[in-house]
Amino acid sequence: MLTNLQATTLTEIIDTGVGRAGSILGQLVGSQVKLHIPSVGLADLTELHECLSLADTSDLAAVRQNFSGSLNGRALLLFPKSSGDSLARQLIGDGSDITSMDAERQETLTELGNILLNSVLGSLSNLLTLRFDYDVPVYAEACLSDLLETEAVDPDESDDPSRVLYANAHFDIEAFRVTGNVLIVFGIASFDQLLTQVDQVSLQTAES
Amino acid sequence: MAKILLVDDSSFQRKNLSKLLTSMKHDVITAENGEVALEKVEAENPDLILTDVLMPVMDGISFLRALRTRGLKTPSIVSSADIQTATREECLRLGARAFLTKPVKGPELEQAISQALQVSTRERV
Repeated sequence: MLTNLQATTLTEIIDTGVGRAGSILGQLVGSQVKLHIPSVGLADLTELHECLSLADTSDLAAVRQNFSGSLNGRALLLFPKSSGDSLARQLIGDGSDITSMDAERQETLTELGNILLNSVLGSLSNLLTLRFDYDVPVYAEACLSDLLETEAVDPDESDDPSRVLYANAHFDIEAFRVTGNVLIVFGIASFDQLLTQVDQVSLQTAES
Repeated sequence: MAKILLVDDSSFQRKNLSKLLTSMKHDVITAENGEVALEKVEAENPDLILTDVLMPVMDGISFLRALRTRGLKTPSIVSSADIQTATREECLRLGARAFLTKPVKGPELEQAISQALQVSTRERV
């Protein structure tokens, strides 16, 4: 179970990382990025789509990055495919038909995901004094359930591998009609370690 | 100005950073991972290395370690999306002259290159 204080503290920590990522994204595309307050909670992987503010979860472009170390989990940058195309067009920066440059589009979005996901996870790592080892990010196009997979996020988890702690942040870039989500999913086995560090931060904040 | 070996698995980054480095009048050679980069260091003798950290086959940290092990003294700068303090410290401990966070800005990169090359020249004298 997550206490109100733990949820609030974790939300603020994720918000710091997302804020940093949003600032970077804004610089890269030359436009304002509107960030929504992150949501944090516990869910079954199969029900996670209900917790996200995605209108359509059936046809997504995503960059997925697994991480391990202090915590095990998966971070995803999720877009409707049309948003992914729009973003790639802005980043590649010419008038070419983006769908005809599939490899370049995917590479561009993969690197964008690399920068943004590392920004969020790195902020989490630094604020909570954790250490993450990252897998190389991977681009994929699929429905949300396939992107999340129903296998355990945490390979060490033997009890209830489908139960996860998630942090989700939604953003919009109105100028380019881009909408997206940063989603981080932690395996239940990582819970104790994460919440111990979150409690430490709460304590330090209260004492200062 | 200088021959720079750019090491990054992302073709997007290789393209954009090459363009930036060329605009600074540097000659650029590229490698997509640390293993290829090691071969190019020995074959091409660049003046400076600009390397990513997270790459398949051989990552940036393993690459920096290999440069040390082989006694290769080419100065290196790291450019990475990984903002963890521990990653920065590890790269600097392995001899990187600077650690820049992606997305890298032109003036910041230019200054880091200038400083790394100046130190390298002083060390050779």
